[in-house]
Amino acid sequence: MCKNKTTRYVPSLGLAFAEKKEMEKLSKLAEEGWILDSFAFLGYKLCKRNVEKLIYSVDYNDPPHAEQEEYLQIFREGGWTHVCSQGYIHVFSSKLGTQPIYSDSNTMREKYKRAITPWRTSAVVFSLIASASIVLQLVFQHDLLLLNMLGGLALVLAAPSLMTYMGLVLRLRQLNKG
Amino acid sequence: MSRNNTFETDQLTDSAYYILVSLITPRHGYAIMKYIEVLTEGEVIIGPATLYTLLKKMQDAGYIVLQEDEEERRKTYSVTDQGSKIIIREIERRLRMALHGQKALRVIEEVNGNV
Repeated sequence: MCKNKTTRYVPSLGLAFAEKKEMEKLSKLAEEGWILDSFAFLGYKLCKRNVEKLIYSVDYNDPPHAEQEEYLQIFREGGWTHVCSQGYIHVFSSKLGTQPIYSDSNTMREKYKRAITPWRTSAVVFSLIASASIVLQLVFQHDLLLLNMLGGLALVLAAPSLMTYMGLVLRLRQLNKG
Repeated sequence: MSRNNTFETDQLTDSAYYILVSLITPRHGYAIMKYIEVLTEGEVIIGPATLYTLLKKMQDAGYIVLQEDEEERRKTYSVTDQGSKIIIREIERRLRMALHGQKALRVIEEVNGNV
């Protein structure tokens, strides 16, 4: 919780597309005393606190409920403070010079592989619903409001899912090259 | 979330190798990181995300188990019989590889010595 009038919201371009850039932006803001507090709708909530030199890292991981404490403890002991989580996305901060959270390329690739699957599933499901509603309208030859709305909604949801999926696939491809 | 539950081959990555070596004696998360750092004199440092990913994967593969440790008051990991077999085989394989490298180094030294 921030004290009165010391909250600031920073929009996110989407972690899947600009993870490194966003983490660097958060570091820069920490140097100005704006410290990451939590995720907000399509962005981050920051609090005005003391100026700090911090580095941020994000992990995609979904530890079972019973293992969540173990997961966070391993990061704590590796010098990383847990800042906030949203679903399988976890943000950690640490002092400059701390060893990175991933120390080899194999496990770093697995991070993105883990994140890809749910986005691929939702992209496929929403795209199928959208196309099915278009096909049905064509077959029945007239506009059905409910079908229209369903198709529109599916299309609206399919687009960001597909983009996130593509972003992660590209990131993984970069890693495979490098 | 999908997880690669099995190792594609029985060969271990360097990180997995060091983690399994450290677990011949049961250890908790931090002790694994510290042991590897000390053992390798700082040459190998395992990051927490890499450590968690591999611990999870090796549990799923049946190489290690997570147990309550009453003395330590926190959970420790230890190798199973299967994990023990895998790590012994892997240590021996890597020893043979190191010997092959050593032979090659000798050849290089001989060549250089004769110039």
